[in-house]
Amino acid sequence: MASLQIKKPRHFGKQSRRNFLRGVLFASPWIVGFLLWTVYPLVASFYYSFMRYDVLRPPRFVGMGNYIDLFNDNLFHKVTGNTFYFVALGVPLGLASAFALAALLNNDFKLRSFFRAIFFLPAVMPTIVIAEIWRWVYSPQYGLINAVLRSWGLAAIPWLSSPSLAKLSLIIIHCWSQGAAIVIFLAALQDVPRSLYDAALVDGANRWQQLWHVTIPMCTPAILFVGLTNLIDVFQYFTLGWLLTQGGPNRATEFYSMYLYRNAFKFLKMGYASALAWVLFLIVVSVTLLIFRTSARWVYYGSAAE
Amino acid sequence: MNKRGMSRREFLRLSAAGVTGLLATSCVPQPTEVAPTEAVATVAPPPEKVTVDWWYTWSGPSVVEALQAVADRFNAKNDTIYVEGHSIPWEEVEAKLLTAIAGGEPPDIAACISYVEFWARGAMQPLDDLIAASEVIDKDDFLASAWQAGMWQGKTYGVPHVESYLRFGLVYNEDLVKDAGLDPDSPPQTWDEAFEWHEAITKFDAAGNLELLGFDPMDAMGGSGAGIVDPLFWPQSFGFKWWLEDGAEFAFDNPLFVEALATIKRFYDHVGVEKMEGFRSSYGTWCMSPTSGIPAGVQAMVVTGYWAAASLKQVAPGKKFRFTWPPNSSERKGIKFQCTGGHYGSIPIGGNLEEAFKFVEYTTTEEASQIIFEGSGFLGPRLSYLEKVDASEVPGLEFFFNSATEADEMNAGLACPLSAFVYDQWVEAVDAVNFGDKTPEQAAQDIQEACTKQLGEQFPELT
Repeated sequence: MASLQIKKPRHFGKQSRRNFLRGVLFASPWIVGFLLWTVYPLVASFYYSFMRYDVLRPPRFVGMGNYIDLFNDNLFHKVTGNTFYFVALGVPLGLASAFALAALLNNDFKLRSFFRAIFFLPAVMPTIVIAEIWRWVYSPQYGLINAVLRSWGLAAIPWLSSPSLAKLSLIIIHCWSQGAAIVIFLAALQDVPRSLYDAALVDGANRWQQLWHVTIPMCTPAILFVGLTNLIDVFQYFTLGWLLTQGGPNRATEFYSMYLYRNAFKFLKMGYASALAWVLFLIVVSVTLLIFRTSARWVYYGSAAE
Repeated sequence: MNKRGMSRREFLRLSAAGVTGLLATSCVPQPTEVAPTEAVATVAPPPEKVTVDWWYTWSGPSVVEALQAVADRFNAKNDTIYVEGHSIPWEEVEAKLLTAIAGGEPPDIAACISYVEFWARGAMQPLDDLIAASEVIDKDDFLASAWQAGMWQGKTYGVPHVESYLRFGLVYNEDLVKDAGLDPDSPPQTWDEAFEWHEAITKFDAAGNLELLGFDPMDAMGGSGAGIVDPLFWPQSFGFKWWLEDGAEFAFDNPLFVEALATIKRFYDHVGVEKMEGFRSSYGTWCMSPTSGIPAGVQAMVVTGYWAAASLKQVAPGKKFRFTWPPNSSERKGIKFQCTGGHYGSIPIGGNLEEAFKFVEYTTTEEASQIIFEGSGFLGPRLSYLEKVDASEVPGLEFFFNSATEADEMNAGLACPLSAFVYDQWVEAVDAVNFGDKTPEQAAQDIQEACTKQLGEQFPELT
């Protein structure tokens, strides 16, 4: 990867200062927005994480009280466990399903454009529409899957009403809605040099060996990018779970962000919610850094090697 | 530099002008998420009138139309005040209200919220002086318990508003009861009898799939749907209070609550907890939608309020329903208990107090009450208006009218400042017992501890 080096001027003369100020002026809308709507809320939430604060009354300093309560809170452990479960299972399965579908869509066949469009469709559907579709699909009384099972004289599957199945059911929806990842993988697949496949063929590699030794290594930068963005997204999983299960049954699908939202806006515990937000931030940053650190071992940047 | 004539300086000037223009347009206030529903008036308020923003969570086209009609009638008769109604989704109202108050732009009237949460935190204006001076509101003309529940620590923060009548009735489908070989003229009076009815009515197919449900203890006023903010019904059915207002303490750790949890579990165990949850999520709760269990004819019994009479007439016109007293614990067999509703017109601090109060007053008048009743079936607790309502027009409403005078116990919602947290713990307790994670005794103890701890943290001045 080419790196961009900015040469510092030897001394910051009048012209350089003017140029700098012009640059800042043009960037100022973004800078102001960043300061107002990112930095200020970050600092404020950090401040309130040391307070008992319900927005309606003045904050009351409690030191590390919120953080101590958090680690003594059984429900915090439960929702963190639920979230890690979803991340550990949902992210790899989402990646694998998106990659597999992209690999299939990379072949030349009739109606390829049509299939590419329909696999991308979930990425542009509003979440509420996705929720209603899957509520119908999963319904044990009249849903698409269970209606077939019932017509065959079988017991319906309690997709969203069983604590042991509810998370898996949400993961299935997550895998189904990987349209954006499919597009990214498709672009990566099309970037793999044809000559590598020719060379592999000459060496006697079959299709699976070509996939494992050529395709996947050449797509590892895209896999890293999609994996990281998916990971960060899934750690903050909220909307679909909230619409479909509200955290039930029996807290089986109560994820971290839902618990944070409840504390902030239902229980009016904004201080505690701020502490939850910072702990989540630390978790996500730690996991992201870990993946970055280990990425050198498995991500292949082809141009760097050349 | 552009060789065709525009210098770098000119280009920079033009770009700066363009960016400034973009900035100016982006600073124009954007429409808030609190978008009016389809029934809002389309005419902008005249500039000399004070605009009163009225937030509520009642939804559904007929209800919103009726409430808008009330606002329109008030606006037509009033030269200085213009009311704009906004229907906010129930799940979002607290977040929006909190944000609005924090941002210094609260609505002028907030209704259908977790009232005591906001009253106890000093976010709403006390109304006693305005009520005392009012020529429209006579508090003796309201059901006493309904009026009482609008108070926190001796001050009145809410006037009963729009929908605040009676909450408890056992509603059952007459035909489903007869089909099960039961006598619809002898409804259950205890939970044991209700369970017998439930067992007789509930049907499964050959594979064990639930086809017809007798009773869902957590439907409607039983306590799991939108609009419920505390375990109101079950404690009253078992004859105890879970919140002792005088001492500001919780009372979940008592044998009656344990018995209530065990009773709920009995219904769940018969059906299968996953099947019950799946049934409720498939059909929905309450009786407002034609696809929910009771109107759809796949569920026979529910505990719900007076509004069900009008809504079932609309969404299930071909079905016959009976309305009677809800069951009690065996020890309380025959005791008729009822509960007044808990919706209030509250005015946030920072709102236009006098103008908003004028509208709240108006909503209690006979004219407004008639518009609301005709359009939505909702009733308030104003006695002089209730005497004029012809209950015979709406099958089932007569039971509620009679229950107001026949009840042995007339209760009201409990003024607990942690109602949202309590509700969350209540649902957790019921789920944990039903799914077998906790015994009723453990669940009762845990909810007691959790709520007591929370009270000490959020309201140390009360403890």
